[in-house]
Amino acid sequence: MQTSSQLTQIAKNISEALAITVFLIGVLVLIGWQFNIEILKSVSRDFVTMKSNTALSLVFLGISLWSLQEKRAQSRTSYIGWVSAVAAMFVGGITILEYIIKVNLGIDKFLFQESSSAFLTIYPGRMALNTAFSFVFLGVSLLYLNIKTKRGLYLSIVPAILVMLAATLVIIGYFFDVSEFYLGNISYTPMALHTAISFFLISFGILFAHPEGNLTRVFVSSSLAGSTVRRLLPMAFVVPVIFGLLEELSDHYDFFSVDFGRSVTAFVSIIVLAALIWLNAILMEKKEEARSRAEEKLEKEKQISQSLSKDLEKFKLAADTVADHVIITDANGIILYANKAVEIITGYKIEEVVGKKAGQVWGGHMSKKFYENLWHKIKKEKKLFVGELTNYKKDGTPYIAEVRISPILYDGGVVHFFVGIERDVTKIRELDKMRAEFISLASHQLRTPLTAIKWYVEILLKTKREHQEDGYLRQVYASNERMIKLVNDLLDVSHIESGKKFSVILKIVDLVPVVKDVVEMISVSLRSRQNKGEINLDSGFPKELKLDIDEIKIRQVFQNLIDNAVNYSLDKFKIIVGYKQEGDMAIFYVKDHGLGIPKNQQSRVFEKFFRADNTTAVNTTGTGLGLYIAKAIVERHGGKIWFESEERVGTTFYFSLPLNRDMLLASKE
Amino acid sequence: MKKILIVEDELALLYALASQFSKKQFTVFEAVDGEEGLKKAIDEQPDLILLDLLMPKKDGMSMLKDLRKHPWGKNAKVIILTNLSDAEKVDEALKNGTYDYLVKTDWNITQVIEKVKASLGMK
Repeated sequence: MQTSSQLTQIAKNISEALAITVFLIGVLVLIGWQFNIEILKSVSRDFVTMKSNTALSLVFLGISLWSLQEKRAQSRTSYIGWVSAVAAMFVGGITILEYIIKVNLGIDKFLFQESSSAFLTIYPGRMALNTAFSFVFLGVSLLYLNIKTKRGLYLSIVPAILVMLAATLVIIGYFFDVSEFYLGNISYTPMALHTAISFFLISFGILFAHPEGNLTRVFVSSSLAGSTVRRLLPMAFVVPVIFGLLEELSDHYDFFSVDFGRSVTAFVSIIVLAALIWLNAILMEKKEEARSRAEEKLEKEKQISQSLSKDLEKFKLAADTVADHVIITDANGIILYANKAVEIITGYKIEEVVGKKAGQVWGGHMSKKFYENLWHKIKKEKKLFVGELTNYKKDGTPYIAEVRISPILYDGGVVHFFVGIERDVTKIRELDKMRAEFISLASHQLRTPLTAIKWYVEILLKTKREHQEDGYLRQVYASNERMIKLVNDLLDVSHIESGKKFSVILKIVDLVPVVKDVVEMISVSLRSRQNKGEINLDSGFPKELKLDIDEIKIRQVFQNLIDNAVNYSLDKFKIIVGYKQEGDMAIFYVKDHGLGIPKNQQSRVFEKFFRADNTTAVNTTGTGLGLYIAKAIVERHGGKIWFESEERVGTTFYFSLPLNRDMLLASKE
Repeated sequence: MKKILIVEDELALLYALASQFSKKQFTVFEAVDGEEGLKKAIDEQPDLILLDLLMPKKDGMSMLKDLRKHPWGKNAKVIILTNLSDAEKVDEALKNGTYDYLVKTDWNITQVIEKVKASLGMK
């Protein structure tokens, strides 16, 4: 289906073509006059000639309509159009004047002579009166063609339609041989056939020169009305003329009687017109269906877009009820959206914030390096940034914000915008601090009496007494040590949990006596329990090994690993404590032939409070903290801890410590 | 004879410690808070100070800092002997030039005295 603008263009092309056609008709007739070619002058010998003035004026009209086409309306060419229109009017006007005052003003034979005996010509060389009027009308019509006021429109269209009707009447007169139609008043010269056709064509051309702006608009409409008028209106011209002609022919050759012929014409006309209208109705219905389908589709699309906008509304509502502060910024950090929580947390109104950068409102109080780091992460690396920073509310109160900023990437990984989620963690951090202080204080308070017991029992043990009393005191001492270890473990766990630095006091220490001491202590306690197990240092264990470590903590690691090996071994066990060097790392191991750790639980060994299923039956004293703390201690020293284990075969725990002091310092930071 | 100053607010611990230093090798001075500790340190100029941290009137860390401002105290030998084991405290103490940092429950008195002797080159 063609669009309205395509149809408009076609109409304009037709208009231009008609202008050229009329121009050519004029030229041809003038040629006819020049070389005295009858068929050019009058079409048929029975018809009146087209006068040379008429032919000249038609040439003017053709030029005028061509020049006044809209595409030339802005150029100088349109002056030619107006001048030509005036020229045609002038010829028409002078001729009318000649008719009125009955004086020959000398224009009739200005171009060519015509004999006074010319057929149906009263004044030789003078055009018919209706022809002269038509020129005046068409001139007016052309002058107003490009004037786009309401009056201009009427003065352009109405004369053209009048001329068209007059020309149609004349043409029909020629077809049906009704001489009154083309003769007009018998005492005047009639309009020539090709003059009438030319008038018809030029009027048509005028009407279609601006199809979008006047009565012909409906012709170029892509609506049903447009297609109806385009299809049916030509039929209004063609059908009666064709049947009229056929009837004329049958009359001429006497095929039927006149009455029979007329009734056949009427019958066939009815059928043809009815069929045309019917066909048109069917086509229109099809178009109507197509249109309603298109409308339905449009309606559906509208509903989808409505539901999308509802979804967006839902998102907004959801984002507004979130307690976290949510902002969306463009690729340069300019805030595009802020949720309600932004107002609640920062005290800035959303309108104050949108269009600004976070640094212009609540942010911008951290070090330059912090922000460089942040932008590098989200813009260059295009990764999520997580950080904690201090921002300021509108009233100047600082608050601690935990921030997550993610870049939103589109095709090709281009950052389109950022989503920032901030949580006010001021209270949580305050609580953390209070908790840490409480734990620190509590541990101090618990450790003070434990120290007193430890030290006084030690003093008592040094003084001479009976053997049995000594035994009691050692029990007190051992119990107290267990209590101290428990407190230490809980304190360590709390330190690890709070994410604070795990305290290590590094000193260069020879580790060998420390390990020997731990082995000796545990062996002594084994013997006191009549246990037949053995703990030995591997033959390759060095005589001296100086490392930069926290002696107490590393002692704790050995103690935990050997304790575990003992606790999860069966009677008459052999445990080996060994050492090897790998690159810059000192690696220690504790190997047993005990229960082993079940495969499906191996991944959880270093979890806090974890105890393997097969251990609880053998030993009930473990807290499940030993390996968790050992891992934290080793990692704090810049080392690693791992193990190899098979159920019912045994377990070997390994841990590494850096030999190189620089590496240790690096890992400390 | 080496002069030792023990600054400790918990009297039970103070007596236990003080009683175990050999009378032949050490002269022991005692103080029960940071204020007294600072005064005695400057008056007696001990070879070593065993310093607790959590104490009334003036805590050990403040006393240490004040001591470092004093011409004599600048280079005084200090071992922290406390039951606080926060990483921050340890770092702060080490930054202020302490010889060692001992958590009381980790050591018995004999070991503490060994550490003191080692630090004074007495072995």
